[in-house]
Amino acid sequence: MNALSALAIRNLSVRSTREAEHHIIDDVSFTLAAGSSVGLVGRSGAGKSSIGNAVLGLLPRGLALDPASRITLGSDELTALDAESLRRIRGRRLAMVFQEPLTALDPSMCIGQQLTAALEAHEVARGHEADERADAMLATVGLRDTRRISRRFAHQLSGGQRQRVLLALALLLRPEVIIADEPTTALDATLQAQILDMMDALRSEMGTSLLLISHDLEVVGERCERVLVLEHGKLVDDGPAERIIASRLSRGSGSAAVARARAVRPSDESLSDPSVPLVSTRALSVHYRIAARLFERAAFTVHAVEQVDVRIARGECLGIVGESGSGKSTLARALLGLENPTSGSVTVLGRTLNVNDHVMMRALRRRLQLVPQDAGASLTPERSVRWLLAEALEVHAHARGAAALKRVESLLAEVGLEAALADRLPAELSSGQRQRVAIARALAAQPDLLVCDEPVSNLDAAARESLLSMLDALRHDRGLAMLLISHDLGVVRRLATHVAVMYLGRVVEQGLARDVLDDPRMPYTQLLRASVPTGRPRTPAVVSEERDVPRAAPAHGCSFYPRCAFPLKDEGCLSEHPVLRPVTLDPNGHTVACLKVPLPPSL
Amino acid sequence: MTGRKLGTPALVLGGLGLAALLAPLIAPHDPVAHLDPVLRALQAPSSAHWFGTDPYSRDVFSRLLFGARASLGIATLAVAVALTLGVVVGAAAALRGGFVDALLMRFTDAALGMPRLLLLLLVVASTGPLPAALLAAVIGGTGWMTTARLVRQETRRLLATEHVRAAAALGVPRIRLWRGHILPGLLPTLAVAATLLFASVLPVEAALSFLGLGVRAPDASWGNIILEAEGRVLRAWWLVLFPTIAIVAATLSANLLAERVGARYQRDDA
Repeated sequence: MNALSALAIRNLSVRSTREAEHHIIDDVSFTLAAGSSVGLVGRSGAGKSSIGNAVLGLLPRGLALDPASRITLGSDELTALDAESLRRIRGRRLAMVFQEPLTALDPSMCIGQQLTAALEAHEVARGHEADERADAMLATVGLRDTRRISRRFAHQLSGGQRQRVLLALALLLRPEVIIADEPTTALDATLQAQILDMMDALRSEMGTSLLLISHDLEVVGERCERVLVLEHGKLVDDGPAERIIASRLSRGSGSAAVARARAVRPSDESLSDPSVPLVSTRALSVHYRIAARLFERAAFTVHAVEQVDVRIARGECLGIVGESGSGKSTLARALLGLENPTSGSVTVLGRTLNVNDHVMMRALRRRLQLVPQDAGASLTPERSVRWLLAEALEVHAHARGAAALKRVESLLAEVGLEAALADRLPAELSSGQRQRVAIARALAAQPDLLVCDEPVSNLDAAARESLLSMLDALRHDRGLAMLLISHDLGVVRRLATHVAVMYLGRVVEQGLARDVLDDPRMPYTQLLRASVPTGRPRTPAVVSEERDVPRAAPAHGCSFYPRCAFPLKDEGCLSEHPVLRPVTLDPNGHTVACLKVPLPPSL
Repeated sequence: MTGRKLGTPALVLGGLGLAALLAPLIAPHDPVAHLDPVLRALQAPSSAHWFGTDPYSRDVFSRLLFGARASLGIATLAVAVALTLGVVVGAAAALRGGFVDALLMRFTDAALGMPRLLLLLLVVASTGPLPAALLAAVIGGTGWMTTARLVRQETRRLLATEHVRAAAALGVPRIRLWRGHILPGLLPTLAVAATLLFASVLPVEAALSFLGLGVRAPDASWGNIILEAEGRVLRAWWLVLFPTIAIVAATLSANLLAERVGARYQRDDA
């Protein structure tokens, strides 16, 4: 046994208890050297999480560890320990960071209590001392105002704060090994970069070893020295990060990297006819009034969407980009007529939307269809694919009875599904197939505009790529207009002909997709682009301060000012409010809301 | 797996149901025939009369079999009535919301506030003896309230789920939405509600019949067999024991079955 290895796994096999032949994990061996970081990548279903759970002794019912498996932490053999000894090691010497921090945190305890409870359960500290340690740890993970945070409950924190708290909980007892299972998958790109930077910094500072589990090869390549690739429960590759990433990218083996489709072809604009927009907005604003609550702050107004002008013509795809909370979804809801504008207007096919005019809304709603973010949940679990599609066809009165059933098959073909799937229930489909059924259901209405809200965020690499090709083909072949909401620039690049970047409810940069994405002028867009993982190692960063998106824009000047890293920024940014200005001579071209971006020479 | 899981309670209820259906074939005697009022009245259980005879010399075993028809039949019908009323009221309240919801739910609260047996006594006392179908309707009509609350709650929960909202956004009309997308999700709840209702209405029928306000002699029901023991409960113990065992066995089985049906759906959800 290597004296330096923090965690050694030998011949790890996990079987299903019902079918002994069915190996979830098949004879996996690797070691994690003290202070090192190893990435474990693979598609969903490859068995990544089962390895993490096996090491922690937390395999779900129905799965069992093969007796030949050996898991050694330092010099202790974990497979030989009883439940109580294992419990003492968990948390203390071996910690886990879960994917979804909201469910991993206890909703009934405030943050401070959860941290001190962990200290007390392992008899490390109690009382006042425990409070102090908890507080110090919250500061270590970059949270500000730790006293206030520790009195809050998980649901009162933002996504980034929760993930930091979860990390604090994992680091609190200074474990030898941390297993992080998709720790940032639920976060947007800028938050992901912050959290990963922080984990790196803390790891090198504390000498902790890290096993980073992810489906995202870029994330892992950036953060780990060594990468293990898991396929169908077997280790198929193991080596230095650079080599693995290079070989995977070149092989194009349906690995995570391929899906990102970094080698982009700019989408063609030939089909679009910008003179007749299908949907357009004029100075659209949507505000929400948040009523005052007892003992809470006074009533205030959230400017979810502020003075937005966008237009989408047939055959175009407008990509809306921005961090969580930037107003992307509210804008989409307003375009769909699900949200009443506070001021400004939405025009669809030459008619101005009026949410209260039910007759008009019913006629228009058919032409504007939404593919919801979580397609799996949007399908009634008890109904077959055929039933769901036939219903959509009937509701929109295109077909009934036998004709509807026949149309179901052509709809399925259109989204690339076999007719044989028609009698399956949603639970019997893969997530990619469910997403396609949701799209087919929207297409049943023969819409003019399809709104896709994060259409591929729940899919693994291969499914993602094929779905994106299908959507692109739909736009191209049907001349469908699309509104694409995503925080993933790779997805937007793949589908969008035009891009609008939103920050705190305002569009801050707009133009053709290739202009905005390849040559971003607004410092915010540049930040978004820099946050996209590349697969190349980064220089280790210091712990970044919590930089969550503020809830509201400052009263004066540029709303991005506090986060702006533009060298030219100055006091002037705080007094004048930036509006969208063209940065090229093309009248339909690239516009940017930044006071410091140089204008084209002749303007 | 499923057969074993629903097990004994389903078997007991099924057995009782079968006995009721096949009563004419199984019963050794005519349930209403006075066999010999002088010599064979109030006989203790024997090989000739397994469960003894009543004061009119009728065979208790035969009466118990035919009584199962009345008791189980009325209970089943009452469950159907209560379930229908409960589903209609609960679904209407949840789907319409607002004023309709408030009105229906306050009405439900008021109905729940009234003591059921007293209400039933009042109805039956003022109308006189009722035919079996009407009796079932009255029993069901006083037992729908908990189901209505349950259905309202579940419909509201399902209305907020992603798939129901997606169907609504697609433009599916309300009634269709409920039938196509909410009702399937409601079925597990309704299965449990129905079995629980069964367990609650069975003793009500027995009680009414025992008080002489339900099924009336000479027709048999489990409740009115016990009535014949009035004044001689200890001496004619068989008139009390056997119908009581039948009532308890059926009620207990229905309760256990409800629990198991619920557990089974819960496992499917996970």
